[in-house]
Amino acid sequence: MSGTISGPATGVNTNIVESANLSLAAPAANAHPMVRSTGRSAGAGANLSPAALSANAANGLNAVSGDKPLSDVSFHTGKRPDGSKVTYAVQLVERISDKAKIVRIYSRSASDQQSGDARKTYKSWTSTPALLDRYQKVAESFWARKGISDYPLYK
Amino acid sequence: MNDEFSEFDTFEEEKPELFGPALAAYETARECLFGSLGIMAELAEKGVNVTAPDGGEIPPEYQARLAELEARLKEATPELEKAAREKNAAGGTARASLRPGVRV
Repeated sequence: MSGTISGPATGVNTNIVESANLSLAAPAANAHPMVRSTGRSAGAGANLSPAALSANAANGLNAVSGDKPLSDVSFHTGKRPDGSKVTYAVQLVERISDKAKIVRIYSRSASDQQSGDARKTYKSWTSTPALLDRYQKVAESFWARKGISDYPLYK
Repeated sequence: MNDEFSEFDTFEEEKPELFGPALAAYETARECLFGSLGIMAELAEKGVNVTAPDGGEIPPEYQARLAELEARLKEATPELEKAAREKNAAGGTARASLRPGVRV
């Protein structure tokens, strides 16, 4: 095993996807990037983690977009205003072009990814107290590690 | 409190300015991301722990779908890394290696 996945250091229950926070440990230096990303051996029949695959794809997209990841990818589920469930990935990145720190959300649904609607929808998802609390703890943990008290997600 | 978000962005707003094979690789990475998110959603509905590092709780049929996605991403990785290197050479700051779990 070249990597591990662990939850945030906030005591939050990460056994459910609602608050899962993916953190891949430092891989072997000579490991293939894909092996490193999936945290598995290269042997035939080895299992895959959808979270690890998602994270690697997201980081690949960041690489070519030129954005600098500031956090690991975390995964969440929420409910849209119509009650339907959605699974999405969240990552903090720094957009180099304007030095802005951005919360990037990846969701399969095109309607969730419209700029204005996405923000509105995200607000509705995070209005769920439990999810909001969990995500805030993840964010707080991240910014605390960075030594930043005035983090941009919540004030 | 939610109005305090300072910045927000979504994947669709990115404009990678890629062409040819690099754009194809980029699109592949998108499909792999969304595909794996879809698998994650399906499994979560079934109560499966989708963050298990070795995917041990994931049924074989889902493992097969994940393996297909991973193979596609692996095939696209050289082009993605090439595009990142070219961005760097042009003065960008893209990382040339697809390393997850970035810590700063």
